[in-house]
Amino acid sequence: MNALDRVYPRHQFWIAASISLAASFTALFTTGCKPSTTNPVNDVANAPTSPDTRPVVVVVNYPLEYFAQRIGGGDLIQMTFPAPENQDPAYWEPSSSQIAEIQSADLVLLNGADYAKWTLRSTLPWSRTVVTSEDMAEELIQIPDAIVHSHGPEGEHSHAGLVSETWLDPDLAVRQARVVCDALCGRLPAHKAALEARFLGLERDLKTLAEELDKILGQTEVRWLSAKPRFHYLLARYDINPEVLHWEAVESIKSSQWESLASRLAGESAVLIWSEPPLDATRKRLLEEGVQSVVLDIAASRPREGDFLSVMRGNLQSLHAIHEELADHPGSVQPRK
Amino acid sequence: MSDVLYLAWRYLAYHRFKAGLLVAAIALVLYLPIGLNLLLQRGSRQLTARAASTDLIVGAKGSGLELVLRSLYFQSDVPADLPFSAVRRVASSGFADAIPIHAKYRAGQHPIVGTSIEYFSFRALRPSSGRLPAQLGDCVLGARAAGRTEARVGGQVMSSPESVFDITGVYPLEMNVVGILEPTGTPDDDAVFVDVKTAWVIAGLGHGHEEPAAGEGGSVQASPALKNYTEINDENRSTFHFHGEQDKFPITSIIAVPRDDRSAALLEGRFLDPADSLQIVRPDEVLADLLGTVLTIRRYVMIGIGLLAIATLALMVLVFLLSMQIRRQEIETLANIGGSASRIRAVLLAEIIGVLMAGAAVATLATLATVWIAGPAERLLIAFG
Repeated sequence: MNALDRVYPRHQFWIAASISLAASFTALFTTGCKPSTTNPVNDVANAPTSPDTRPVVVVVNYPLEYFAQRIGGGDLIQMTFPAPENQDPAYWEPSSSQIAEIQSADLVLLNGADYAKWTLRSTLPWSRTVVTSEDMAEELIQIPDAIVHSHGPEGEHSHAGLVSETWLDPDLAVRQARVVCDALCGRLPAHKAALEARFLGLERDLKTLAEELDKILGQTEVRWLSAKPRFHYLLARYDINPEVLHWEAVESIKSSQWESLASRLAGESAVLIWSEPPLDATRKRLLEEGVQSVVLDIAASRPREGDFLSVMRGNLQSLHAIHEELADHPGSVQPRK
Repeated sequence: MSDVLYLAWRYLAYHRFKAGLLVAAIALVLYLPIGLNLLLQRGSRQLTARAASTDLIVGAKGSGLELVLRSLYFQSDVPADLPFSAVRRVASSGFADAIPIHAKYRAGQHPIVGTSIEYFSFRALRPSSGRLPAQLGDCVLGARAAGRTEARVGGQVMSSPESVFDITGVYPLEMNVVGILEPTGTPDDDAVFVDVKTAWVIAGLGHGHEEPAAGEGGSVQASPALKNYTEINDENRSTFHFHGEQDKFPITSIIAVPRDDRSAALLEGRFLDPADSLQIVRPDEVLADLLGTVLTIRRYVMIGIGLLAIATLALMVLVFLLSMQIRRQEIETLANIGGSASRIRAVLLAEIIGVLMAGAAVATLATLATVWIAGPAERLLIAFG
């Protein structure tokens, strides 16, 4: 061992030399390093598959459920109408978990015309959502005081809005059913013939309903009132635009509302359509004012008995009864073509 | 041999400042071309991968590059809006699915991307915790955005006002974090995803009904309880509504996912009319132009670096030669104490090799660091675009 070794131990030198050598060799290889990149798999937006091969179809109201069931049947589709039976589907607000389930559906059928406002505030799968009244933009009815509520210091006030109950006009119902059929054919192209045949059967039934309606409403000339803005499409067939009172069936009518009605009628008689039975006192007072009450079921929810067509026929019977009572009003209103 | 290396090591250690300068110069000369190539390679690879995975983008007429960069990377200037009716136009063609993109606003440094649920399956984005957006006000954070904001599922994230000087502008929106996505190594990691309708609320197109405290005589009392931001919660969500026709509401672009190549071509044909206010672009073609420009500039930069390297090497040779002149006495001493000429030459050579290897080592470390931080490489290229 020489003098330098004693003063400067060799192991320090060798450690430094080893590190330098190792670093230099890695320099030769680092430029060839392939950086790892994780790129997402390019998946096209497809509906998740359900365990059952039948597509899951979600609807927002009973008429669409009826149309989809008539056309798709229990053999070809799985039907889901998530709104509870004891709630008006138009005002039902699903939870986030319920919306997540709806997002996984193969097809979501919306009514459109602002029906079921939760759909305007929810994240729905655009590619699998069909608005059944989308081609009816010209026919949709907007009324200036569709929504009445109270908030802030200004108190009760109204907003313009669309009337949503498009299915009450059998012709519009046929068009919505046609859209449902097209949507199902898109999902089940192998069963197109069967779906079309079923649609034709439904179309026949709805057209028969329209003819029966024409015989009644087409023959009745009377002033029409509506407790809520729900029956416009039913009456628009005959160019009738009912006046909306915004009365609640289960509440007592205020004197200011009676005064407003009296000034509106100016002694003329009228028929007031309700979507649920009014209080007896209200009905009695209306008769005194020369106003007949008729209750029509808008069929937005699944009926306890029967089906959509039987509910509509029930409405026809109620209208027929009114027609009979108003038999002394001659003349008729031509049905809209 | 060990004595040669030892002496070389001791010399360099003694003249550490000079050695350090030489090591730094060599490291720079070696690292610059490697690092630049690496950055451009990784950046262009990531850019082109994301563009290649997106067939078509529809947007307002204007800069195609701006449209692509905003739609894919949520950066660059915001292109002109297009109406939401364009989504129906694409979807109703039957040739492609349409995914709307609204990428105008930010939550701090993170872009707020309003889109549809299909975007998540298109980009294979899955939540690592929580769920995807379901309701107005819900937001889902990319992995990096969640890390930086320290937001958790159940927490809130606030949108940024467009201009701090806009006192008449829309209030920021406090969004509810319902999910955090798995990391993907893409710009999606930096984004805050909402439903496009939530983006419209931020834009002021929708609102709910807040109840400020009523003062005497029907006046409104602006108390400290009056919030200067909008929030959407379970209590007030049902009051939110939009004014105007949704078809006219603005979006930034549409990602069109064609069914096949033929459908893509047919869809492109629908936008050929020069009078059409919309355009359809292929992102990979648009970015190829950008990368072509970048690669051209790289060529010139590499030439410059090459010339610099030659000059640096020449200077280093000069430094070594001058050093040997200065060390003449030292070399004579080595010879006098018994060092042979070959041994002395070996010591000098070992010093040179040592400096070179140390420079290479530093260049290696710098390259490794570049690999680690190469994520911003994309942003550099986008900023260049």
